[in-house]
Amino acid sequence: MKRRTKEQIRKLMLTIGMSIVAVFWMMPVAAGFFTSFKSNQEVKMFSEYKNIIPRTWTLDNYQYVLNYAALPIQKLLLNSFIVCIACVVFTLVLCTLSAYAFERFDFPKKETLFWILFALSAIPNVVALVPQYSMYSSMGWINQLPSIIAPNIADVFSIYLIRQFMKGIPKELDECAKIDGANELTILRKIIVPLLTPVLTMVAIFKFSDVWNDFLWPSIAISTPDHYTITPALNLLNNAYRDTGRVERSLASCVLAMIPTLIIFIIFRKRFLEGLDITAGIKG
Amino acid sequence: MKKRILSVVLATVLAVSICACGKTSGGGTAGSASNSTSSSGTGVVNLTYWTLFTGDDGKNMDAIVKKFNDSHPDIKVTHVAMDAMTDLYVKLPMVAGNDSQAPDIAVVWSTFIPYLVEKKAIQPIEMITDTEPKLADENFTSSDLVHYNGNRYGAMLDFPSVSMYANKDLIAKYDPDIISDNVITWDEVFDLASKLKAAGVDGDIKALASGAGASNDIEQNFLAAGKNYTEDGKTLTLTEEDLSNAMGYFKKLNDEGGFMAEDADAFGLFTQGKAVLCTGGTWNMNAAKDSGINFVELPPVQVDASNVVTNAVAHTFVLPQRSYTDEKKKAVATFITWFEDNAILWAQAGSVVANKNVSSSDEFKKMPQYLFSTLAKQAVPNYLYLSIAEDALTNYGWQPVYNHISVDDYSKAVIAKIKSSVAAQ
Amino acid sequence: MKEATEKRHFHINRKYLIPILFLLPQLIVFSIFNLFPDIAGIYAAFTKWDLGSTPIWIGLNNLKTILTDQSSLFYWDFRWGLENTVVFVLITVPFRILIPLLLAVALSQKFPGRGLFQVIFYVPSLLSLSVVMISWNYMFNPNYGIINTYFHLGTLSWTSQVPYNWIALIIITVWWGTGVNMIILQSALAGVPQELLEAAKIDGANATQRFLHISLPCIRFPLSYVITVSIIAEFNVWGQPYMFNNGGPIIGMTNSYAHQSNLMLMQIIRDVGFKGSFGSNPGIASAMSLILGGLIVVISIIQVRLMHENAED
Repeated sequence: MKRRTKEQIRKLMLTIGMSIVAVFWMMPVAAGFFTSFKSNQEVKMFSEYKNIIPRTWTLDNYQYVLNYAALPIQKLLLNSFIVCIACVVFTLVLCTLSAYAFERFDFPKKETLFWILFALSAIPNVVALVPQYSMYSSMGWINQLPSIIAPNIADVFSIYLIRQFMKGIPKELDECAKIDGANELTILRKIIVPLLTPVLTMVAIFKFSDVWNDFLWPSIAISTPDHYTITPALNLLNNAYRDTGRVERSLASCVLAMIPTLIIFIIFRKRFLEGLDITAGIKG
Repeated sequence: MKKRILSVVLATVLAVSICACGKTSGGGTAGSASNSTSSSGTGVVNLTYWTLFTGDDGKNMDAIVKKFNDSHPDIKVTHVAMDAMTDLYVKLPMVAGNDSQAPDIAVVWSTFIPYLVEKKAIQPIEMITDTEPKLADENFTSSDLVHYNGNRYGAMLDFPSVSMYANKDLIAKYDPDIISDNVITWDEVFDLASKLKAAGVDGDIKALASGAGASNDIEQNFLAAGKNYTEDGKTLTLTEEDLSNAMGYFKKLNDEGGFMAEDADAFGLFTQGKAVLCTGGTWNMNAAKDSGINFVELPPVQVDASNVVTNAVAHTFVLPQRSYTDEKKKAVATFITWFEDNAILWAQAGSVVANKNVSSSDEFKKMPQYLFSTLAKQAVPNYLYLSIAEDALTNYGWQPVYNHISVDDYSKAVIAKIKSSVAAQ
Repeated sequence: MKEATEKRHFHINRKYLIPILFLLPQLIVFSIFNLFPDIAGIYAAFTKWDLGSTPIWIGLNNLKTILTDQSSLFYWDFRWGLENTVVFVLITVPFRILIPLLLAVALSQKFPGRGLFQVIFYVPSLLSLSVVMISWNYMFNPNYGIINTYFHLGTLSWTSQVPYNWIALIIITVWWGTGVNMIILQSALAGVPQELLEAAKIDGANATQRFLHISLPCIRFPLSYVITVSIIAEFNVWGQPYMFNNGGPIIGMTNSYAHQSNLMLMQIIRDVGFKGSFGSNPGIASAMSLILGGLIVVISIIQVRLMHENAED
């Protein structure tokens, strides 16, 4: 009885401690969110009013951002979605195939090849930017969405993550299936992939948000607004506001840019975190 | 369920990718304006129009373009705004000569014409302007700004100039004399600062804030002192002493408590009534109007009251390097001429228009920037490596004012950086 | 005898054919879209290039300039940039490992609100650079920002005073990067066999001992991965210092060149390589990236080797 209460107190302390940290953690996002509904005067008076939550809520900032004719928000969001989903799908397919090859087979210099690939991935992106532009230019892909999809899909880091997870799937399962007459591809499809769900979700979420937030290359490769993705477009908007100090407009555009990634994360979070818990033996 | 989602997603992605890959140049998804030289089959000529008008300026230009499109059903102009330094001037050379990617018209700063010509990114505009008497050189102020190496490269829109917004109420309260001749000199600013100090408000209200940025304001000071970066356009003749003098005024003002605090939001201070004077540009007119302050737009602080200048460049139309069909040539000529005729619309954003017909019209005289345009002469920093110089100035910002570095060391650093970067070209 | 060897030879080849087929799609895509531009970029390090025209081979000149020519601005930019970057890595990476680790340990236990906290701590990692910097610039704003107002710091300028700019950048970077590492470490901790922990508990080991001697060794590989990826990420830092204070206040002068407090190497590479006007020098930028990239690769390999030395791969 005493032990259980001690346990409960400990858990309560944990919750309280976490809550305090979490409040500070969320502050920038929360402040940004609430400020996007403030008028410019209220923002500037913060040192006097000291209020995070607006006294008068206004949608002016959002109206301005959404009506900014040069950047059709709906088109931007659509482009970003198309690019991100394409990247996720291609990455999952290519990297799972490779992870399978590295993890379930043996061939000469296997690990050396892997680490060479890993090392090559560590080369800073800047090195490749200008040659990439020339290359895509001659392929006719400049100002087209494939040019921002292609560089993002052969990702060695994802292979690493998937491999690690695959190590935990017993090889006996493979062998059983083989005895039943399955070939390697079927084993992958029917046995391994279903068990890889947690790590695949993790890779998908990472890749989605990385590509969503990617800004350097898309801003170079794309030059007309209807092909832009959202992050470089918002950066353009923000440059425009910085001079006149309208931070509340910048924040409104930030909120708009955040929403899709947040939604995706929330949708898939349950399955992903369940996967973590199941592995640990903790029941929901 | 998951499998179903996956297959739907896959199908969508494949479908869209095929659409995107299918069209070779300029197509993309349906409904976009393409860069292609062909018309879309109904006799409409499509023009792609790249400018550096992001922000409030951009909104104004969008409205003007829309007006043009509505009144000219056979031409469709698509306005694309992008950041000048990081986008426009990078992309123009990159797409030069490529008809499917290069725009049909662009707006750049006149000071970048030499650079763009060297990079073969633009071509002479004579083939357009020679066909339209309205676009002849005589119709523009300072038309020499768009000539280079014997050719004419541009048709100017306006002169974005450094100006200063003055809070009339605060001036009336603390130092009404300085505004009597509509020109404010540095001596008068120092005077204002001491009057604010005497009134005990200098902690809260600053005499001057820099909304135009260090690069513009320092240039303004040495231009006002009669100096410039270069005499022949290419060799740097600006000395460390010139820079130290230019920066010195600001340092002195800050030492006397009259300059804005480090990292202050200059325009924020002005709109809150915490700065009497705020440098900015003709491009800030809309923000100033919105601020609710009783203001007047004046030339920036002058060194010499008898030689009132403003640090200005010209915005100009240019022709990117590409081929034009006869249809396109006509469409471009129509657009540029229409714009110049209707430049009063552009003036509504606060610009000092270049077209003489408009700048001398009655409507223009009613605009808040008219006073400014009559008072100050344009002084253009015409240096081939202007971008390098302005980068260096922006990089070191106001650091000597706030004592991170001495003024002389600052000047040495700026000049050294400019020379070093130019030498590496 | 001859037949037997032939059969064996054929058998081995076929065995390798299948994994290679699985690898091929990713390798092809990687070679075309990642490797080829990288190699072209490395080649650029040995050229003088103008972004439009063709590159001119100049051999080791760029590297010589950056590494030895003390009269050149590029030498000092490179040196100070590299110094700042190394210091930045040395400070932020430990925080980016320890804090997520602590959070992961805490979140491995069941307590009220756990799911919500997982989301809260991860969300910053989902945000893009612009969003992060706009929000934090607003937080650190000396006139109307939350930090100065709530902590009564007056108009302290975080962007232009020396210890504060570093503190701010470290806070922002750790805040941004914790989420990802936390998730990976949490899933790694979830993989530690419960039986080992139970056995240790019975043997009388307390929580700390169980963690240090059982959990940590078990998560050694994901931990090494997280360390490597974090090191690589922080060596590549440019966005935060650039959008925060564009390199920061000047703290010294040499040869008339000014030394800025938090100017990072990648920012210099971007500046030098990508300017829409005179002033860009992609050859030098590529040379700098080459050295930076080489450094990153070497450090990553050393770090990975160190952590894997006792295990077979």
